Amino acid sequence: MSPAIPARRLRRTKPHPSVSRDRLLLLLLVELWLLNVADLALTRYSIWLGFATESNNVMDYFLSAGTVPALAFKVGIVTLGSLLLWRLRAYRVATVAAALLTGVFATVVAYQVLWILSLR
Amino acid sequence: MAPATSSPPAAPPVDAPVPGQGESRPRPPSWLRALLISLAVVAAGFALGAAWYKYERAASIQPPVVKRTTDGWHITAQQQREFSGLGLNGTRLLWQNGASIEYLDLASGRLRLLGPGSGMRTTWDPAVGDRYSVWFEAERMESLAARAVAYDTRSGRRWTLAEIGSVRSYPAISGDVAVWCSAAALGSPAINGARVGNGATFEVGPGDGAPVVFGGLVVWAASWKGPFYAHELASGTSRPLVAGLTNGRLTGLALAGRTLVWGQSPEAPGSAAGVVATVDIDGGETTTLASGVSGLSGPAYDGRTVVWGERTASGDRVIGRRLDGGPAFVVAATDGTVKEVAVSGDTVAWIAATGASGYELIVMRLPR
Repeated sequence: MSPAIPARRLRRTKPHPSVSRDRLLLLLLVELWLLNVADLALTRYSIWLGFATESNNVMDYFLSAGTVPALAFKVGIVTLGSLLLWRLRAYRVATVAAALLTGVFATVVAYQVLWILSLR
Repeated sequence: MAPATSSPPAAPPVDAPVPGQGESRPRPPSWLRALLISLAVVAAGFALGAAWYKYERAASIQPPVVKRTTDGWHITAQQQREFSGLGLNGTRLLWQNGASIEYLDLASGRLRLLGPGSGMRTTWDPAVGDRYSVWFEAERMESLAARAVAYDTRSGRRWTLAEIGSVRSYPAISGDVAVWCSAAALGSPAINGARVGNGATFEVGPGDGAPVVFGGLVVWAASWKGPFYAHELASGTSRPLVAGLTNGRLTGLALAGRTLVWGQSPEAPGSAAGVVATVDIDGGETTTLASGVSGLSGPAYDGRTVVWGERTASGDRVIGRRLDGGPAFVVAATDGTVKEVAVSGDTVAWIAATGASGYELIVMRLPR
Protein backbone atom coordinates (compact mmCIF):
# COMPACT_ATOMS: atom_id res chain seq x y z
CA MET A 1 0.00 0.00 0.00
CA SER A 2 1.42 3.40 -0.94
CA PRO A 3 1.05 6.33 1.42
CA ALA A 4 -1.62 8.94 0.66
CA ILE A 5 0.95 11.73 0.61
CA PRO A 6 4.28 11.29 -1.12
CA ALA A 7 7.08 10.97 1.33
CA ARG A 8 9.16 13.73 -0.21
CA ARG A 9 6.45 16.25 0.51
CA LEU A 10 6.65 15.57 4.17
CA ARG A 11 10.40 15.52 4.29
CA ARG A 12 11.62 18.05 6.75
CA THR A 13 14.47 20.39 6.03
CA LYS A 14 17.56 19.13 7.70
CA PRO A 15 19.36 21.42 10.08
CA HIS A 16 22.93 22.24 9.14
CA PRO A 17 24.50 24.01 12.08
CA SER A 18 27.49 26.09 11.18
CA VAL A 19 29.45 28.57 13.23
CA SER A 20 30.41 30.52 10.10
CA ARG A 21 26.79 30.86 9.04
CA ASP A 22 25.76 31.81 12.57
CA ARG A 23 28.22 34.68 12.46
CA LEU A 24 26.94 35.79 9.07
CA LEU A 25 23.34 35.59 10.26
CA LEU A 26 24.10 37.57 13.39
CA LEU A 27 25.77 40.34 11.39
CA LEU A 28 22.93 40.39 8.85
CA LEU A 29 20.37 40.70 11.64
CA VAL A 30 22.30 43.55 13.26
CA GLU A 31 22.48 45.35 9.89
CA LEU A 32 18.78 44.66 9.31
CA TRP A 33 17.97 46.18 12.69
CA LEU A 34 20.05 49.29 11.97
CA LEU A 35 18.58 49.70 8.49
CA ASN A 36 15.10 49.35 9.98
CA VAL A 37 15.77 52.21 12.38
CA ALA A 38 17.27 54.26 9.50
CA ASP A 39 14.14 53.55 7.43
CA LEU A 40 11.93 54.88 10.21
CA ALA A 41 14.10 57.96 10.73
CA LEU A 42 14.16 58.76 7.00
CA THR A 43 10.42 58.19 6.65
CA ARG A 44 9.74 60.44 9.63
CA TYR A 45 12.02 63.13 8.18
CA SER A 46 10.40 62.90 4.74
CA ILE A 47 6.95 63.31 6.30
CA TRP A 48 8.20 66.26 8.35
CA LEU A 49 9.54 67.83 5.14
CA GLY A 50 6.07 67.43 3.67
CA PHE A 51 7.19 65.47 0.64
CA ALA A 52 5.98 62.02 1.65
CA THR A 53 3.08 60.17 3.16
CA GLU A 54 3.20 56.74 4.76
CA SER A 55 1.53 54.31 2.37
CA ASN A 56 1.54 51.44 4.88
CA ASN A 57 -1.72 51.87 6.79
CA VAL A 58 -0.46 50.11 9.91
CA MET A 59 2.68 52.26 10.10
CA ASP A 60 0.62 55.32 9.23
CA TYR A 61 -1.52 54.61 12.30
CA PHE A 62 1.51 54.40 14.57
CA LEU A 63 3.22 57.40 12.96
CA SER A 64 0.08 59.42 13.54
CA ALA A 65 0.25 58.44 17.20
CA GLY A 66 3.80 59.77 17.47
CA THR A 67 7.42 58.84 16.97
CA VAL A 68 7.71 56.68 20.10
CA PRO A 69 4.77 54.36 19.26
CA ALA A 70 6.02 54.09 15.67
CA LEU A 71 9.54 53.32 16.88
CA ALA A 72 8.26 50.75 19.40
CA PHE A 73 6.12 49.00 16.78
CA LYS A 74 8.65 48.99 13.97
CA VAL A 75 11.63 48.04 16.10
CA GLY A 76 9.53 45.51 18.00
CA ILE A 77 8.34 43.73 14.87
CA VAL A 78 11.80 43.51 13.36
CA THR A 79 13.35 42.45 16.67
CA LEU A 80 10.79 39.65 17.03
CA GLY A 81 11.43 38.53 13.44
CA SER A 82 15.17 38.65 14.01
CA LEU A 83 14.87 36.53 17.17
CA LEU A 84 12.78 34.01 15.25
CA LEU A 85 15.38 33.80 12.49
CA TRP A 86 18.11 33.44 15.09
CA ARG A 87 16.28 30.53 16.70
CA LEU A 88 16.11 28.90 13.27
CA ARG A 89 19.79 29.57 12.60
CA ALA A 90 20.54 25.89 12.14
CA TYR A 91 18.60 26.06 8.88
CA ARG A 92 20.19 27.67 5.84
CA VAL A 93 16.90 29.25 4.84
CA ALA A 94 17.06 31.51 7.91
CA THR A 95 20.30 33.07 6.65
CA VAL A 96 18.90 33.40 3.13
CA ALA A 97 15.78 35.12 4.50
CA ALA A 98 17.90 37.49 6.61
CA ALA A 99 20.06 38.34 3.59
CA LEU A 100 16.98 39.04 1.46
CA LEU A 101 15.40 41.22 4.13
CA THR A 102 18.64 43.13 4.69
CA GLY A 103 19.03 43.65 0.94
CA VAL A 104 15.46 44.95 0.61
CA PHE A 105 15.87 47.34 3.54
CA ALA A 106 19.19 48.56 2.13
CA THR A 107 17.45 49.21 -1.21
CA VAL A 108 14.70 51.23 0.45
CA VAL A 109 17.12 53.20 2.62
CA ALA A 110 19.38 54.04 -0.33
CA TYR A 111 16.39 55.23 -2.36
CA GLN A 112 15.17 57.40 0.51
CA VAL A 113 18.61 58.91 1.13
CA LEU A 114 19.02 59.88 -2.53
CA TRP A 115 15.48 61.23 -2.69
CA ILE A 116 15.92 63.35 0.43
CA LEU A 117 19.29 64.62 -0.81
CA SER A 118 17.58 65.80 -4.00
CA LEU A 119 15.28 67.98 -1.88
CA ARG A 120 17.97 69.56 0.29
CA MET B 1 7.26 -0.22 2.69
CA ALA B 2 9.20 2.92 3.10
CA PRO B 3 8.09 5.13 5.94
CA ALA B 4 6.39 8.36 4.96
CA THR B 5 8.62 10.35 7.23
CA SER B 6 11.88 9.77 8.92
CA SER B 7 13.58 11.48 11.74
CA PRO B 8 16.42 13.72 10.62
CA PRO B 9 19.87 12.25 10.86
CA ALA B 10 22.16 13.52 13.49
CA ALA B 11 23.59 16.91 12.67
CA PRO B 12 27.12 16.82 11.37
CA PRO B 13 29.86 18.37 13.41
CA VAL B 14 30.22 22.07 13.29
CA ASP B 15 31.84 23.16 10.02
CA ALA B 16 32.96 19.56 9.45
CA PRO B 17 34.34 18.60 6.05
CA VAL B 18 31.77 17.15 3.74
CA PRO B 19 32.29 13.42 3.49
CA GLY B 20 33.61 12.33 0.18
CA GLN B 21 35.48 15.51 -0.53
CA GLY B 22 38.79 13.97 0.19
CA GLU B 23 41.41 16.00 1.89
CA SER B 24 39.94 19.51 1.55
CA ARG B 25 40.19 21.20 4.89
CA PRO B 26 37.23 23.16 6.28
CA ARG B 27 37.68 26.88 6.47
CA PRO B 28 37.75 28.04 10.07
CA PRO B 29 34.93 30.39 11.10
CA SER B 30 35.90 33.98 10.45
CA TRP B 31 34.22 37.15 11.66
CA LEU B 32 35.94 39.10 8.92
CA ARG B 33 34.57 36.88 6.17
CA ALA B 34 31.08 37.03 7.67
CA LEU B 35 31.33 40.81 7.90
CA LEU B 36 32.46 41.14 4.29
CA ILE B 37 29.62 38.93 3.04
CA SER B 38 27.01 40.81 5.06
CA LEU B 39 28.36 44.16 3.86
CA ALA B 40 28.24 42.86 0.29
CA VAL B 41 24.53 42.15 0.80
CA VAL B 42 24.01 45.71 2.07
CA ALA B 43 26.07 47.14 -0.79
CA ALA B 44 24.02 45.20 -3.32
CA GLY B 45 20.85 46.62 -1.74
CA PHE B 46 22.28 50.15 -1.87
CA ALA B 47 23.18 49.70 -5.53
CA LEU B 48 19.68 48.45 -6.28
CA GLY B 49 18.16 51.43 -4.45
CA ALA B 50 20.36 53.87 -6.37
CA ALA B 51 19.42 52.21 -9.65
CA TRP B 52 15.74 52.38 -8.69
CA TYR B 53 16.08 56.09 -7.92
CA LYS B 54 17.93 56.80 -11.19
CA TYR B 55 15.40 54.84 -13.21
CA GLU B 56 12.45 56.65 -11.64
CA ARG B 57 14.03 60.05 -12.27
CA ALA B 58 14.73 59.21 -15.89
CA ALA B 59 11.55 57.36 -16.78
CA SER B 60 8.87 58.96 -14.66
CA ILE B 61 9.93 62.36 -13.35
CA GLN B 62 11.94 63.46 -16.38
CA PRO B 63 13.62 66.53 -14.93
CA PRO B 64 14.58 69.29 -17.34
CA VAL B 65 18.11 69.65 -18.65
CA VAL B 66 19.79 72.52 -16.80
CA LYS B 67 22.96 74.08 -18.22
CA ARG B 68 24.91 77.03 -16.93
CA THR B 69 25.77 79.61 -19.57
CA THR B 70 28.25 82.47 -19.51
CA ASP B 71 25.71 84.86 -17.99
CA GLY B 72 22.94 82.66 -16.67
CA TRP B 73 21.10 79.41 -17.24
CA HIS B 74 19.59 77.51 -20.14
CA ILE B 75 16.90 75.01 -19.16
CA THR B 76 15.33 72.68 -21.68
CA ALA B 77 12.18 70.61 -21.25
CA GLN B 78 12.28 66.89 -21.89
CA GLN B 79 9.69 64.84 -23.73
CA GLN B 80 7.94 67.95 -25.10
CA ARG B 81 6.79 68.94 -21.63
CA GLU B 82 5.32 72.42 -21.34
CA PHE B 83 6.93 75.12 -19.22
CA SER B 84 4.72 77.77 -17.60
CA GLY B 85 4.16 79.67 -14.38
CA LEU B 86 7.53 81.40 -14.34
CA GLY B 87 8.37 82.94 -10.98
CA LEU B 88 11.63 84.71 -10.16
CA ASN B 89 12.62 86.31 -6.88
CA GLY B 90 16.28 86.92 -6.15
CA THR B 91 18.05 83.62 -6.75
CA ARG B 92 14.84 81.59 -6.52
CA LEU B 93 13.40 80.42 -9.82
CA LEU B 94 10.20 78.38 -9.86
CA TRP B 95 8.18 77.15 -12.79
CA GLN B 96 5.81 74.44 -13.85
CA ASN B 97 7.28 71.62 -15.92
CA GLY B 98 4.33 69.60 -17.14
CA ALA B 99 2.62 68.74 -13.86
CA SER B 100 5.84 69.13 -11.88
CA ILE B 101 6.77 72.18 -9.86
CA GLU B 102 10.50 72.78 -10.27
CA TYR B 103 12.70 75.00 -8.13
CA LEU B 104 16.16 76.06 -9.25
CA ASP B 105 18.45 77.88 -6.86
CA LEU B 106 20.31 80.16 -9.25
CA ALA B 107 23.18 80.61 -6.81
CA SER B 108 24.00 76.93 -6.38
CA GLY B 109 22.41 75.41 -9.47
CA ARG B 110 20.48 72.91 -7.33
CA LEU B 111 17.26 71.74 -8.97
CA ARG B 112 14.51 70.49 -6.68
CA LEU B 113 11.20 68.87 -7.47
CA LEU B 114 8.59 70.41 -5.18
CA GLY B 115 5.35 68.99 -6.48
CA PRO B 116 2.90 67.51 -7.03
CA GLY B 117 2.58 65.76 -3.70
CA SER B 118 1.64 62.12 -3.36
CA GLY B 119 -1.83 61.36 -4.67
CA MET B 120 -1.94 64.60 -6.66
CA ARG B 121 -1.86 64.69 -10.45
CA THR B 122 -2.51 68.33 -11.32
CA THR B 123 -0.68 71.51 -10.40
CA TRP B 124 -1.18 75.16 -11.28
CA ASP B 125 1.38 77.89 -11.90
CA PRO B 126 3.44 78.71 -8.80
CA ALA B 127 4.28 82.06 -7.26
CA VAL B 128 7.53 82.77 -5.44
CA GLY B 129 8.31 85.42 -2.86
CA ASP B 130 11.45 86.29 -0.96
CA ARG B 131 11.06 83.22 1.27
CA TYR B 132 7.93 81.25 0.50
CA SER B 133 6.40 79.92 -2.67
CA VAL B 134 2.80 78.86 -3.18
CA TRP B 135 0.99 76.80 -5.80
CA PHE B 136 -2.16 74.70 -6.13
CA GLU B 137 -2.48 70.94 -6.39
CA ALA B 138 -5.42 68.65 -7.00
CA GLU B 139 -6.18 65.11 -8.05
CA ARG B 140 -7.49 66.39 -11.37
CA MET B 141 -7.94 69.68 -13.21
CA GLU B 142 -11.70 69.91 -12.65
CA SER B 143 -11.43 69.12 -8.96
CA LEU B 144 -13.54 71.11 -6.54
CA ALA B 145 -11.09 70.27 -3.80
CA ALA B 146 -7.79 71.82 -4.81
CA ARG B 147 -5.35 72.79 -2.12
CA ALA B 148 -2.82 75.57 -1.79
CA VAL B 149 0.63 74.20 -1.02
CA ALA B 150 3.41 76.31 0.48
CA TYR B 151 7.15 75.75 0.37
CA ASP B 152 9.71 77.40 2.60
CA THR B 153 12.94 77.94 0.66
CA ARG B 154 14.86 78.36 3.92
CA SER B 155 13.86 75.15 5.71
CA GLY B 156 13.06 73.10 2.61
CA ARG B 157 9.66 72.13 4.04
CA ARG B 158 6.38 72.04 2.13
CA TRP B 159 2.91 71.84 3.62
CA THR B 160 -0.74 72.26 2.76
CA LEU B 161 -1.56 75.91 3.34
CA ALA B 162 -5.32 75.79 2.75
CA GLU B 163 -8.10 73.85 1.10
CA ILE B 164 -9.31 76.29 -1.53
CA GLY B 165 -12.16 74.62 -3.44
CA SER B 166 -12.06 75.19 -7.18
CA VAL B 167 -9.23 77.19 -8.72
CA ARG B 168 -10.14 80.46 -10.48
CA SER B 169 -6.69 82.01 -10.74
CA TYR B 170 -3.05 81.35 -10.05
CA PRO B 171 -1.67 82.55 -6.72
CA ALA B 172 0.44 85.65 -6.11
CA ILE B 173 2.71 86.20 -3.13
CA SER B 174 4.49 89.05 -1.38
CA GLY B 175 6.31 88.51 1.88
CA ASP B 176 4.19 85.96 3.71
CA VAL B 177 0.89 87.06 2.14
CA ALA B 178 -0.48 84.87 -0.64
CA VAL B 179 -3.65 85.75 -2.56
CA TRP B 180 -5.68 83.99 -5.22
CA CYS B 181 -9.17 83.66 -6.61
CA SER B 182 -11.10 80.52 -5.80
CA ALA B 183 -14.63 79.34 -5.22
CA ALA B 184 -15.81 77.07 -2.46
CA ALA B 185 -18.22 74.32 -3.45
CA LEU B 186 -21.53 75.91 -4.56
CA GLY B 187 -20.05 79.28 -3.64
CA SER B 188 -19.30 82.38 -5.66
CA PRO B 189 -15.73 83.19 -6.68
CA ALA B 190 -13.84 85.38 -4.26
CA ILE B 191 -10.40 86.83 -3.83
CA ASN B 192 -8.93 84.85 -0.96
CA GLY B 193 -5.63 84.90 0.82
CA ALA B 194 -3.50 83.40 3.54
CA ARG B 195 -0.61 84.30 5.78
CA VAL B 196 1.91 81.66 4.82
CA GLY B 197 3.83 81.94 8.08
CA ASN B 198 0.95 81.13 10.42
CA GLY B 199 -1.54 79.58 8.00
CA ALA B 200 -4.31 82.09 8.75
CA THR B 201 -6.68 82.40 5.79
CA PHE B 202 -8.86 85.38 4.94
CA GLU B 203 -11.22 86.62 2.25
CA VAL B 204 -10.27 89.84 0.51
CA GLY B 205 -13.66 90.23 -1.09
CA PRO B 206 -15.97 88.90 -3.76
CA GLY B 207 -14.51 88.94 -7.22
CA ASP B 208 -13.43 86.78 -10.10
CA GLY B 209 -10.02 87.82 -11.35
CA ALA B 210 -6.34 87.09 -10.97
CA PRO B 211 -4.99 89.14 -8.05
CA VAL B 212 -1.50 90.47 -7.45
CA VAL B 213 -0.17 91.56 -4.08
CA PHE B 214 2.60 93.72 -2.71
CA GLY B 215 2.93 94.33 1.00
CA GLY B 216 -0.57 95.00 2.25
CA LEU B 217 -2.01 95.96 -1.12
CA VAL B 218 -4.02 93.57 -3.30
CA VAL B 219 -5.06 94.47 -6.86
CA TRP B 220 -7.08 92.39 -9.26
CA ALA B 221 -8.86 92.79 -12.57
CA ALA B 222 -12.56 92.08 -12.49
CA SER B 223 -12.39 90.45 -15.91
CA TRP B 224 -9.89 89.79 -18.71
CA LYS B 225 -10.41 93.40 -19.80
CA GLY B 226 -10.57 95.10 -16.42
CA PRO B 227 -11.41 97.24 -14.54
CA PHE B 228 -8.99 97.02 -11.62
CA TYR B 229 -9.84 96.96 -7.95
CA ALA B 230 -7.48 97.68 -5.08
CA HIS B 231 -7.80 96.40 -1.53
CA GLU B 232 -5.81 97.50 1.49
CA LEU B 233 -5.38 94.55 3.83
CA ALA B 234 -4.67 96.77 6.84
CA SER B 235 -7.85 98.80 6.60
CA GLY B 236 -9.98 96.22 4.79
CA THR B 237 -11.12 98.81 2.25
CA SER B 238 -11.60 98.17 -1.45
CA ARG B 239 -11.93 100.67 -4.27
CA PRO B 240 -11.91 100.71 -8.05
CA LEU B 241 -8.75 101.98 -9.70
CA VAL B 242 -8.81 104.64 -12.36
CA ALA B 243 -6.55 103.37 -15.12
CA GLY B 244 -6.44 104.04 -18.83
CA LEU B 245 -7.40 100.59 -20.01
CA THR B 246 -7.82 99.80 -23.70
CA ASN B 247 -10.31 97.28 -24.94
CA GLY B 248 -7.76 94.49 -25.23
CA ARG B 249 -7.32 91.30 -23.27
CA LEU B 250 -5.02 91.58 -20.29
CA THR B 251 -1.77 89.71 -20.89
CA GLY B 252 -0.19 90.34 -17.52
CA LEU B 253 -0.52 92.24 -14.27
CA ALA B 254 2.36 93.12 -11.97
CA LEU B 255 2.52 95.14 -8.77
CA ALA B 256 5.48 96.52 -6.86
CA GLY B 257 5.36 99.32 -4.34
CA ARG B 258 2.39 101.49 -5.30
CA THR B 259 2.85 101.00 -9.03
CA LEU B 260 0.71 98.72 -11.13
CA VAL B 261 1.94 97.56 -14.54
CA TRP B 262 -0.18 95.69 -17.05
CA GLY B 263 -0.26 94.60 -20.66
CA GLN B 264 -3.21 94.50 -23.01
CA SER B 265 -3.40 92.96 -26.41
CA PRO B 266 -6.19 92.96 -28.98
CA GLU B 267 -8.00 89.69 -29.27
CA ALA B 268 -7.64 89.70 -33.07
CA PRO B 269 -4.69 87.45 -33.85
CA GLY B 270 -1.73 89.17 -35.49
CA SER B 271 -2.83 92.63 -34.44
CA ALA B 272 0.02 94.93 -33.47
CA ALA B 273 -1.85 97.11 -31.03
CA GLY B 274 -0.62 95.70 -27.75
CA VAL B 275 0.04 98.13 -24.95
CA VAL B 276 2.23 98.06 -21.84
CA ALA B 277 1.14 100.67 -19.33
CA THR B 278 1.59 101.68 -15.72
CA VAL B 279 -0.36 103.67 -13.18
CA ASP B 280 0.20 104.90 -9.63
CA ILE B 281 -2.22 103.19 -7.28
CA ASP B 282 -2.74 106.40 -5.31
CA GLY B 283 -3.82 108.37 -8.35
CA GLY B 284 -2.22 109.81 -11.38
CA GLU B 285 -2.06 109.52 -15.09
CA THR B 286 -1.65 106.24 -16.88
CA THR B 287 1.78 106.07 -18.50
CA THR B 288 2.15 104.05 -21.66
CA LEU B 289 5.50 102.31 -21.75
CA ALA B 290 5.03 100.67 -25.14
CA SER B 291 2.33 100.61 -27.76
CA GLY B 292 1.80 98.92 -31.09
CA VAL B 293 3.29 95.75 -29.65
CA SER B 294 2.70 92.51 -31.48
CA GLY B 295 2.64 89.13 -29.72
CA LEU B 296 2.81 90.72 -26.28
CA SER B 297 3.69 88.48 -23.32
CA GLY B 298 3.97 89.74 -19.77
CA PRO B 299 4.81 92.30 -18.52
CA ALA B 300 6.77 91.56 -15.36
CA TYR B 301 7.86 94.24 -12.92
CA ASP B 302 10.14 94.11 -9.88
CA GLY B 303 9.87 97.69 -8.65
CA ARG B 304 12.48 99.10 -11.01
CA THR B 305 12.42 97.33 -14.35
CA VAL B 306 9.47 96.35 -16.55
CA VAL B 307 10.13 93.45 -18.91
CA TRP B 308 7.91 92.07 -21.67
CA GLY B 309 8.11 89.88 -24.75
CA GLU B 310 7.16 91.00 -28.24
CA ARG B 311 7.21 89.68 -31.78
CA THR B 312 8.99 91.37 -34.66
CA ALA B 313 9.49 90.46 -38.29
CA SER B 314 12.87 88.98 -37.41
CA GLY B 315 11.60 86.97 -34.48
CA ASP B 316 10.61 87.36 -30.85
CA ARG B 317 12.60 89.42 -28.40
CA VAL B 318 12.54 90.40 -24.76
CA ILE B 319 12.34 94.12 -24.03
CA GLY B 320 13.10 95.95 -20.81
CA ARG B 321 12.48 99.45 -19.57
CA ARG B 322 13.47 101.02 -16.31
CA LEU B 323 10.78 103.12 -14.68
CA ASP B 324 13.33 105.44 -13.11
CA GLY B 325 14.27 106.71 -16.54
CA GLY B 326 15.62 105.78 -19.91
CA PRO B 327 14.20 104.31 -23.08
CA ALA B 328 13.17 100.74 -23.68
CA PHE B 329 16.04 98.40 -24.53
CA VAL B 330 16.39 94.98 -26.06
CA VAL B 331 17.29 92.37 -23.45
CA ALA B 332 17.67 89.53 -25.95
CA ALA B 333 16.45 88.21 -29.25
CA THR B 334 15.06 84.75 -28.71
CA ASP B 335 14.49 81.53 -30.55
CA GLY B 336 10.83 80.59 -30.71
CA THR B 337 7.89 82.39 -29.19
CA VAL B 338 8.22 84.17 -25.85
CA LYS B 339 5.46 82.88 -23.56
CA GLU B 340 6.26 84.36 -20.17
CA VAL B 341 8.78 86.76 -18.69
CA ALA B 342 10.05 87.47 -15.17
CA VAL B 343 12.46 89.96 -13.68
CA SER B 344 14.11 90.39 -10.29
CA GLY B 345 16.97 92.78 -9.64
CA ASP B 346 19.58 92.32 -12.32
CA THR B 347 18.20 88.97 -13.49
CA VAL B 348 15.67 88.38 -16.22
CA ALA B 349 14.09 85.07 -17.25
CA TRP B 350 11.69 84.00 -19.93
CA ILE B 351 10.00 80.90 -21.27
CA ALA B 352 10.08 80.36 -25.02
CA ALA B 353 8.27 77.76 -27.07
CA THR B 354 10.62 76.47 -29.73
CA GLY B 355 9.81 74.18 -32.59
CA ALA B 356 12.67 71.78 -32.03
CA SER B 357 12.82 71.02 -28.33
CA GLY B 358 9.41 72.17 -27.13
CA TYR B 359 10.02 74.62 -24.33
CA GLU B 360 13.10 76.30 -22.96
CA LEU B 361 13.73 78.66 -20.09
CA ILE B 362 16.47 81.24 -20.33
CA VAL B 363 17.93 83.10 -17.35
CA MET B 364 20.41 85.91 -17.90
CA ARG B 365 21.64 89.18 -16.50
CA LEU B 366 19.90 92.35 -17.50
CA PRO B 367 22.05 94.58 -19.70
CA ARG B 368 23.38 97.51 -17.70
